[in-house]
Amino acid sequence: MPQMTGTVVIAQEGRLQLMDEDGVGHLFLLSHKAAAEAQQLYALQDRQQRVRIAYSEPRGVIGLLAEKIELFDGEASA
Amino acid sequence: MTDDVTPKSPRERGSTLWPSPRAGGGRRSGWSGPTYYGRPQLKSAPFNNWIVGGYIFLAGLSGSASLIGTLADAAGGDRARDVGRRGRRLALLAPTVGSALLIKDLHTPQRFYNMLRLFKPRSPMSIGTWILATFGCSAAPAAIGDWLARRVPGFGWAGAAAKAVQVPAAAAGAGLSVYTASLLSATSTPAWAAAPRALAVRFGASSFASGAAALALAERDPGVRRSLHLLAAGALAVEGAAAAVQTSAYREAEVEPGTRDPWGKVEKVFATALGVAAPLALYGLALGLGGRRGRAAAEAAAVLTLAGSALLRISTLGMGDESALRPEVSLAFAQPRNLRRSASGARPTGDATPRSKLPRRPPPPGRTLH
Amino acid sequence: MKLHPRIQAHAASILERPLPEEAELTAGVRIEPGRSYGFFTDTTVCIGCKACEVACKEWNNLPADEIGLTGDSYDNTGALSANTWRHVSFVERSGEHGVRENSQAPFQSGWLMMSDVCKHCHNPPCLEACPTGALFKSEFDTVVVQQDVCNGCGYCVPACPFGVVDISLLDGKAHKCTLCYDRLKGGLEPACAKSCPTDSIQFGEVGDLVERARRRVDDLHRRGVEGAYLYGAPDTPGATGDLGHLNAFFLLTDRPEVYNLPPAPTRASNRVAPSLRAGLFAMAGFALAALAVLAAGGKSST
Repeated sequence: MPQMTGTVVIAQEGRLQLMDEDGVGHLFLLSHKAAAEAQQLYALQDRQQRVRIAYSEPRGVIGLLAEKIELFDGEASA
Repeated sequence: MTDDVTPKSPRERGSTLWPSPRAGGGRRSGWSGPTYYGRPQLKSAPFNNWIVGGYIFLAGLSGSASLIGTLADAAGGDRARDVGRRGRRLALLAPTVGSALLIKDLHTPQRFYNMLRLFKPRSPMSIGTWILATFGCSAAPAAIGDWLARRVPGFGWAGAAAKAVQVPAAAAGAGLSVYTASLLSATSTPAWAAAPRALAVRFGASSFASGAAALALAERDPGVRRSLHLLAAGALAVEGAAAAVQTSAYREAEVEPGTRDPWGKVEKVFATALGVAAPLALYGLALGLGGRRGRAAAEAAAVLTLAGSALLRISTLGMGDESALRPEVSLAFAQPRNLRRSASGARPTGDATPRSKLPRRPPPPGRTLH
Repeated sequence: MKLHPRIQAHAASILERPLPEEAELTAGVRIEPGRSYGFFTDTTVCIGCKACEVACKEWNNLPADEIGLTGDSYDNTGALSANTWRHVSFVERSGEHGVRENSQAPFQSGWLMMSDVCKHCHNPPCLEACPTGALFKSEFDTVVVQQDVCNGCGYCVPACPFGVVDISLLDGKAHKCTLCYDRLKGGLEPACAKSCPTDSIQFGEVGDLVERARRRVDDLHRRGVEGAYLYGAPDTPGATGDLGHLNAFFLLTDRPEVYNLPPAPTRASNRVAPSLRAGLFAMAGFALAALAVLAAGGKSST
């Protein structure tokens, strides 16, 4: 499953906007299979937390589906 | 505001992309006026029809079997002893397999317990959650008590306790047999909402027939078996009558085109013809033949009843989805002339709707509105 | 329009934080809990710019439904959905033989445009259907889905007579317009109303909006738009069948069906009692029959 590292810029209900290492914004939907709950995303926005998201690409929407969100503090490899 | 809201200027006559509908009555089927590019006006239920249809069938079967079993214990005497026992066993299907099916159909299944946060009398899904919970909590001890009384020495009292706790299960079982029809009717889907009473009677009759049929298939005593087959046949007759009332209600509400194909055809062929008419014919044959061949005919009828009951639920769900997705059907249902008949609470004085209370003066701060 | 006196105090071109009670400046409404808020959408001044769709998507961080070009005039959104909470409908009207007439009545007689949204009904069928209580009426008299409670049963979806609320198969929960509940709590008006350039979408207290709308309808009738009427205000089409009134109501100029709206929607939960009564009555009848048949069978010999 592809992964993306970045900063959580906006969190709204079960959706979040991630700014990746290149400064590009990506819209993520929290999958219903993910362990995280929508309420936990607001804390990520408050802290502008860096996270690593394992995601899949759904059909029919222009956005990405976040399956797993991990807090990330180290340096992202290229 | 009256039914006719077309603008009155002559310019507007014939100036839309669609032909104007004929004014006034006549049993036109469906809405023949303008739609929005033929796009659906409603959304269809996101249920998996096989899973939810399967649950409704099991709920009706379990509930009615429990009901019939309890009544057999009360009135059937010694010969009907096994009916009660089988009824208690069949009752276990709904709380176990049925609940699993329901949880599987949720789109966020790990939150299934949120159904138990409250009881909302206006929501049949909430009512049904609690009916199922009550049923499970009474049917399970009944079945366990029964088993203990027969298999484990020293638990003779459990048999009587099982019979006692079976009574609330039977009452909840009657609810299980019909609440799903209310669940479907309390939506805006035309095929479900246009005939709420007929659908409820139909589902109840189908549940009762399937419960009686299942108990009859397993019954060894010929006299009791005959009674159970008779009950199934009677319920099937009621179901047929309800189906006829349902069809005429659809025609009157002009949603009949939404019940044509393809699930409408499945419903007519498999649920009504094969599920009601054929078993009734076979029961009649069994009555005439008697003996071993009569018994075979009756058993075939019982099997068809069970299959028909399951297919009735699945095809009703499919038919509903189709009627919701067709704007000519849903717009025909949502017309002012249907307000009187759809138990909407509107007074039958033309199109006068109850005047709702708009807040005219703002309430003093600190007080909530409702 | 006269400027609100508070605007003088916020003349800076870069603002570091939201203005307090910004809705007073942008919509002339002071937002307070306990009052009834909604939208009045005047379709006669809608220009079909879709600023409302974009603002809603931006504020609520919603993804686009990838449906491409539909070919239905300028409507490339199609319908309201789990990810689309504002949807602009376009209906092009031609005259005889498909040719648009040269002289037309004023105020959008040739091209209908309407920004569709959740109606936030007074007696909402979706809320009454919801078995978990996820759907609730907020302190602003709006209907909101609590995302941390909804378990995706999907029963609200067929309950809505307008086909508004929908389940997202991706995140497994029901979604619809919240009337920007978070913005209301912060004293800001909803994003779509704020961004509408012609004030087709007006935000305010429902009572005030209805009065304003009625005056507008009278004005339009005087100016030659005889077909203008309100949809969703008390005692008008759309506010039928015991739904009460719609907090988000419209001014339309053609039949509701043309805009994909039902002329006479009903409150679905009114069908629960008659249905249950009929069903339980039938079961009682069957139970009596069973008692009689089983008792008779129990007494007789084979």
